[in-house]
Amino acid sequence: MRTRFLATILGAALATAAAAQSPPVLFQTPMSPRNANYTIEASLDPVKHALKGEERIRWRNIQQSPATDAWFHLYFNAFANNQSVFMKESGGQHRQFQFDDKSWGYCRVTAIAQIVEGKAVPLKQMFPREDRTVMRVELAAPVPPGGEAQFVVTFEDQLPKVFARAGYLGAFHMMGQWFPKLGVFKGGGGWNCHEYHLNSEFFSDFGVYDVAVTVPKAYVVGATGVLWKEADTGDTKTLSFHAEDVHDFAWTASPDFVVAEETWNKVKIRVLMQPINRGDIPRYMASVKRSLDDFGRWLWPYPYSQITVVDPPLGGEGAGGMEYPALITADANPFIPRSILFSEMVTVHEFGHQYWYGMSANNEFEEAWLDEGINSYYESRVMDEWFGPGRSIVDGFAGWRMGDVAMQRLSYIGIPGLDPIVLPSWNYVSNGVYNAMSYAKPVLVLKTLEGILGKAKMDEVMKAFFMKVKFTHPTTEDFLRITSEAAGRDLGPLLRPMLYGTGTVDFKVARVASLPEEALKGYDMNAGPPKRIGKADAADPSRVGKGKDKAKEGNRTKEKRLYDSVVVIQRKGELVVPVEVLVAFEDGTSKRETWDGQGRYTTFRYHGAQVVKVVVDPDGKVPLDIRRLNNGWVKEGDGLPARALKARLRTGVQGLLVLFLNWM
Amino acid sequence: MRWMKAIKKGFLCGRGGALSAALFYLEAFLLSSMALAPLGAGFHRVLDGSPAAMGLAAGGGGDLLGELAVNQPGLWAAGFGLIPWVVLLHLVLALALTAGTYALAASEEPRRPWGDFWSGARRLTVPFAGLFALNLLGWGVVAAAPALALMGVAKAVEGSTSPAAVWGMVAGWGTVLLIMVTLFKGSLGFGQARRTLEGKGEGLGRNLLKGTAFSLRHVMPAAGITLLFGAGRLLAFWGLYWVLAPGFATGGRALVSMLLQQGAFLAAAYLRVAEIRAQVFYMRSWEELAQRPAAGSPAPAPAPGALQPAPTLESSDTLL
Repeated sequence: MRTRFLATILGAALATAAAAQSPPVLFQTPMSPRNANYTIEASLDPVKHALKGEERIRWRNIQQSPATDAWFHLYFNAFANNQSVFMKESGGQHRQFQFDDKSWGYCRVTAIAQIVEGKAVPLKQMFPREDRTVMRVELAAPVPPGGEAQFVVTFEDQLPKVFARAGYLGAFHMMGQWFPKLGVFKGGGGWNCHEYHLNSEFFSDFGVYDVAVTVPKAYVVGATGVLWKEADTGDTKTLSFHAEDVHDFAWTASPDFVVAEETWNKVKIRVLMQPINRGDIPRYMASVKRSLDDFGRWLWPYPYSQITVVDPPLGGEGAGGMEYPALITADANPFIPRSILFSEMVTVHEFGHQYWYGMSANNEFEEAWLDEGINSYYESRVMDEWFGPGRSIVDGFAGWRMGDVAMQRLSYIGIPGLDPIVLPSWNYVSNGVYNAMSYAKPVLVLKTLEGILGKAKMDEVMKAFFMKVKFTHPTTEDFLRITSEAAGRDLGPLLRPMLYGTGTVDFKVARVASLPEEALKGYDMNAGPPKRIGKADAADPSRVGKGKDKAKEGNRTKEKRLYDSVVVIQRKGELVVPVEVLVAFEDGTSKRETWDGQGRYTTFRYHGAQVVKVVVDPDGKVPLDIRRLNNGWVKEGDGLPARALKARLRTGVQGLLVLFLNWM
Repeated sequence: MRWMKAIKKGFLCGRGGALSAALFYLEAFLLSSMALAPLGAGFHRVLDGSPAAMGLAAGGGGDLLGELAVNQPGLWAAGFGLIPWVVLLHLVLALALTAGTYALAASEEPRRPWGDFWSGARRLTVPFAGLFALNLLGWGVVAAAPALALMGVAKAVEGSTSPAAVWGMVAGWGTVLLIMVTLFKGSLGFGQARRTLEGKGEGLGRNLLKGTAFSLRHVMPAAGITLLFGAGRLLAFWGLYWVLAPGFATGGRALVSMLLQQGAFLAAAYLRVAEIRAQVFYMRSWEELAQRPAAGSPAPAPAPGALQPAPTLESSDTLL
């Protein structure tokens, strides 16, 4: 009896100990297919900026075709030499950051094996693409539909000095896309596994990640998963993280981070800040809280238990403004005035990627707009509602203000017709066009859709789309199908040309004529035999009606003159979008017309007071319109806008002249 | 202290100083208006008939300018077409105005401000241009050494996340910049003052060297004058762009904020004149002191230009 009791106690203790050694279960019910699961152990050498790692991958074939090979991304090889696709496309420049050609990086797979019937079968590495960012192995045993393959991979990373997302600067290490990672198996279509391009981002399957990283003891680490175990190993420590239903795992390490933590709506917000930017912690916190509230309300409550915001050091800004599951990098800079709201904008944008990329995990290589574009739309929504539409990016810098949508619009209208929105990222004519088409134009398309549907319906439609595609890999066609279903109308005819075409929206007030009504001249054909109208008839009281009574017209001239007016609105752009037209009259009245945008022009005719103003799209519901300045006509402008703008520019020129004068 | 007195005298600029300040202000105002006249005409052509441009909110209009830049590139090309010519004209006029202001300051109590101003401008514009060019060249070369040293330090601390390192670099660059600005303005200003006070008795190079030597011997007062007036102008410009500029809009505040901005420009012009006068007064006080007869020797004949009675040497001043 005593023995049995002791055994029970021992068993319970062992179970507790075993449980303590097992990662926690975060979601009782998986939210995603979890078909690409990684267990990684990695050790960072912060002096050599190098890493050694071993990963075990459990991959399940969720397609209907068997897999005979496996394709892996080795993203760090983009920085291996000047012959990589990334370096050739970028010329060593990403965003505004320059590559240091004394600091190359790579990811080398030292061994890869497939576990077949409990034995590790070495696999031969092949590099079928243009560079070594993609590795292929032929499987020792094919994986049937529903079957599972296990791989053991040992690898070494040499980090480049950070200029494009990942790398090191001093003691700061940003580990993004750092481990050999499976592409996405598409069944008969083989593996979707592209090279690392200048414009492209990433694409992978969902899974569970258990990652243990060993770093010097003094280092602060932030990572995608939840920290569940920490073990001291002499001068180093090993931190174990666990993440579920994510498709990537990123981490960062630096001894310099200032850590700030708060909890908001049951989500732990962890900010890892550079000491010099310590004062900006509240800005990051506020941005994340605002985003948690807004995205939670508009789409779905943030499901993960934490979000980490990483602030890169000065000179390492190339790591900033990037999204990973449950970890984002922001971009504070002590030299940027606070009236420029980039810190907030970047944080809100990267947080939004937790939804549009993190959960709605589209193929970023091929349809970047589905994450960048939709997310930029939500970024503008958050920023506009937070700071006000006209000041949500620049709020008083040197006296200027500008909103998020206006900024997006400016980046689009200069290059509206070069490439469509839906295009593989490497096919864009330039990085600028990629940005305009993947970020800015989709914002304007969605704002235009919002103008047509109304904000409430738009929210309903977008929420329906998100809820249907979360934890899947949606495509543009999914977007069109689901949003049409939710809107209760086929949005294809409206959206398809916007997404797949290069046409533009450009409405113009082509003609406004407002002429005093004329008295009848010639023969009156309406009253019996034709009768010549002459001076003698002018006073005939029976001739009452439009343009028939000169005497009455004379009186009207004194009192209130009537006009025959014609307003012609032209659709110069190829895209057909319904639009409202406001016509204002001299007597203070106005009419609001709606044109479905079909045909190349439409005409509105009025009889009554003179037309004094015509505005196409008076409420700015069609921001996709590339020329707003031809959207209206006024009888008499007061010249104030021109004077105000000229005065402001003159102030600048005058200031420069005075400055120059002071040096003579 | 002598330099404080010079600054005080600089500020009490009288009729002559007021004239100079008004000319400084008007020159920049008129030239900037002239430079942007074609752009203004273009704005009226494009914006007057467009309701989209109406109702500019305070601080707004950046998007309109952006759209104009994108959709009306010809407007900008034509609109800024005069700028290079205006800059050239400004170069000449600025030198002439500076020369006239130095001359007016040297005459101290001008009976004929206009006459003194223009005669000084005629006499000194060309030498001032030479002094400016020489000074720019000289200090450009001198500045290269600390700039290179700092670039080396910047490379060494690259990657440091320590605020001390970052702010140290910023402070390093700031200090070098401040020193160079102070030296540049001090040597040029006192070179010009010397030319004004001494006439053309010496070559431009020697003139500049002596001005530089003077500003280095009196480095604290010279720097004080430069920094004080520099700070004043910075304050005026800060107020101009950050406080007053946001008022610009098509609403009622537009005119008020425009007038206030012009007031700020006038203040900047006044500060420049006061700076010139302070430099002239300060240098003259020392030159007069140097010309005082040594004990027991006969007094030299007063130089033409009727130098003022020498001030008393104060305990805090040291004649180097």
